[in-house]
Amino acid sequence: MSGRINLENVSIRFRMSYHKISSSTQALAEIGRRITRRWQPEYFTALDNVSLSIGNGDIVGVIGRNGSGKSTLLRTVSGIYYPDKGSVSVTGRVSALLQLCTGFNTQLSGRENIVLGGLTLGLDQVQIREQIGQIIEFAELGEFIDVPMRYYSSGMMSRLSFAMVVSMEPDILLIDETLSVGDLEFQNKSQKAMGRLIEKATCQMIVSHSLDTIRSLCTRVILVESGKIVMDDKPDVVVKEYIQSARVEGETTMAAQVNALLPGGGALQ
Amino acid sequence: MIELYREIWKRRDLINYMVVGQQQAAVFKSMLGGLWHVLVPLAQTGIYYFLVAVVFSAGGAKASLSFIMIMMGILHYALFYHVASFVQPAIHGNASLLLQIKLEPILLVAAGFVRSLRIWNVGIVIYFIFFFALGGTIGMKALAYPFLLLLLLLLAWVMGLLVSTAAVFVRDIERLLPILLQILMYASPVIYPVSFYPDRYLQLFLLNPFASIFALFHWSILGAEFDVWFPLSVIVAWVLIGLLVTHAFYAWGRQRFTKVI
Repeated sequence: MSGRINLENVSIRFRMSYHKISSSTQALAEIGRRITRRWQPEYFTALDNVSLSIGNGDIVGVIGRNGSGKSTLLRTVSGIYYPDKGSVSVTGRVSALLQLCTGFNTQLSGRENIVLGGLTLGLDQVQIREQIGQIIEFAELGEFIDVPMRYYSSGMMSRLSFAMVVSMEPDILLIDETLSVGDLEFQNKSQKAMGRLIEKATCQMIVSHSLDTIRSLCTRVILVESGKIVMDDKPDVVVKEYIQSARVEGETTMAAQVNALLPGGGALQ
Repeated sequence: MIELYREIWKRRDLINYMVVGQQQAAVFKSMLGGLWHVLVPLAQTGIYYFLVAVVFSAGGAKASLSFIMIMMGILHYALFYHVASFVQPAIHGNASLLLQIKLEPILLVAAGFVRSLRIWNVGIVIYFIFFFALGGTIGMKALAYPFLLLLLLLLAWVMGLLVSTAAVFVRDIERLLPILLQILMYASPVIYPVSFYPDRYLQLFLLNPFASIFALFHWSILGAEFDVWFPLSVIVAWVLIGLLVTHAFYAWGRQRFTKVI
């Protein structure tokens, strides 16, 4: 494997939340149960033996049902999660756009939050100073930029966050879901800016439920199911397969629901 | 370990900005704002002075000396309470940030520690104002004070990193820590002189790092007389072993933080 992003046999599992230990009493009780072999914690495998290589110029779309492991995959690539098995290697500066408005402090002004956000994302003061004017202009906040953020509407916060996101110059860009914010006019502007951002990055991974976005932007698509990559091919091929499997499953589920509602269990096929 | 401190130094601007934001949030809608950082240590000193020196007539010294001793103990010990308040929740309290951005969690611990120091510094300045105003004098032993202060800071840092890591996995720490700190305060010469310890058990008491460091403050600032090498060895050993153990624990924990917070 010689891509910018390489995952080799990566597995990640989480302890089921209702078994999480949150007090020392529970911890002691669990230790007791473990010693007596009466109980072992249950685990949920979010990524199961995933191998993947993404190189320069690749724009990889990641699709799959809710809870299939798409976001976990992105967080693993971005270094937020450490794999339980396997290895992850990423070469280059990574920008992960997983959620807008992360890291804002509402007691600080918009301008101060630009600095705080920039520093959190790993920029230095000089880089932030160079970009701050551009960010303020893009966010269209006018005189509100020096007002504490607690007085901002959610739209204003999202616009500022988005403006910061598109001002970055990453080598590797990881995007989780569509980042469309603001009113119609701002949405058009943000889509163009996002396009420019995607052009700047050397390789990207995009998680989205918007199959049109995936088809139009990506050069390659992977389908994730139950933590496994079940398909890795051209966008049209994977999207077609995904739609087909979703339709089959939807029909099966609907038939089962109707059958359950019919007297005597029903016989709808 | 060195890499982590390099990262802290490299990202000191971020740490400062985090502290400023946290401080502004803390004084939001407060009428007295930052003045509380002055009032709280003064009130605490007054309360302990009344209890120890007036009610129990302890200390065996004149009133101003007792007041200076209690003030020194309370205001220096306050650092551990600040660490318990601001450093302990530093990692699990920033779950949403750590789940969205790749950020070294020790930076959050450092931000909580810097915030603790900024508040604690006010108390230390107040102490020395009172110390000299009440006729306190310092001798050659005071030259050791900066070094002792460094040991105190290192002990507080070790405690902070340990409890912030542990609190991610076991939240009971949040409730347990203030109780433990209170017990340790009464077990250490914070509000009473070192001479309160029975001679036979002095070394046993001084195995407690908090007792050792405060005994050394008594020696350095208040002129208490005893063999300093034992408490000095104890505190240096606690700091060095503490740093190694705590960093090993943090290194183990950091790969698990985002999965459990």
